[in-house]
Amino acid sequence: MSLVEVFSSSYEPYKVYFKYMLHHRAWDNPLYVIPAICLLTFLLEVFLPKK
Amino acid sequence: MNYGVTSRKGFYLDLFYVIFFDYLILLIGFYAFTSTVEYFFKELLGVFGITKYILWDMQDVSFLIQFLVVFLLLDLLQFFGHFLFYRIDLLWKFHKIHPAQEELGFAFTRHFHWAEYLTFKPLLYLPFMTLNFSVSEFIAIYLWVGYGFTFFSHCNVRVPWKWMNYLLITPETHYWHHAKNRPEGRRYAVNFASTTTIWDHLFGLFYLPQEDTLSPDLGIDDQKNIPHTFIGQMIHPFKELFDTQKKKHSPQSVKKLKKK
Repeated sequence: MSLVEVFSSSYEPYKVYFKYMLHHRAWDNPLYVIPAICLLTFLLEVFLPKK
Repeated sequence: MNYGVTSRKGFYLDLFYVIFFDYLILLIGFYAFTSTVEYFFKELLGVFGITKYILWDMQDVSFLIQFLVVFLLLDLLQFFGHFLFYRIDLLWKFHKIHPAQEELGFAFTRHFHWAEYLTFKPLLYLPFMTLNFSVSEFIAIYLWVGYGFTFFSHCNVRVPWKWMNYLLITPETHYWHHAKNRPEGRRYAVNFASTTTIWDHLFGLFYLPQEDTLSPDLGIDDQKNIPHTFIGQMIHPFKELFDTQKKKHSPQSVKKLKKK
């Protein structure tokens, strides 16, 4: 298989996984966890003294 | 209301990097890139007649051992890879857009070149493949063990983390990693680890001065050469590579080589 074929075939199961993630709101879903971590660290910077 | 966090130099560019890497690349393409690396690595092993690549089936051991092994292995790989990005000139050309910042902040965590992200991160999977972890399991491990913590270590907070500094990478220790003026006797940088300080201690790369007054300026030596736009930063390493090759093959350097 060529690099493009391998990449596109690897992509197929991920499309299904991504659709599942969009509808699955839970603590183990990075789609929602990443903004939560961003918000948490943003609040750390807001409320703790800065360098 | 302006809290001073968003007014930091380069904040909005950093925020764009977070969206670019965490949503456009990581969540959409990381699986496919890692699977592609897996496929070609298996093909490569096949060339040498190696079909059994699982060295230790981690699925058979308890969760606690799995967690400890995975945590320490991922931390070691990230530490070693990070060190190589400073040690090898070619890799440094791509990595230096990350430390070329004068102020730290949580959004700064994802300020990397795409070539570094899409080659280094999927390669981290290969040792996990020998432990019988699938690509999706690896991505889950990576997201939970090695990902969120880096947001914390890049935070711009002035808090004495005390004993925690000697166990975990805190904003205090990571601040010294980004120092422009390296501590005396240190050729590259210090505090390379991402989560724990174990590997820094073992390899003699841990550094934390006792007096806070030594707080350094952040950045790199050729800070002025790094562009301030996303496109400029993506092109910059390739431009540097092109310039290096051009210098190597210039008539003057060919003459010098012939003389030698």
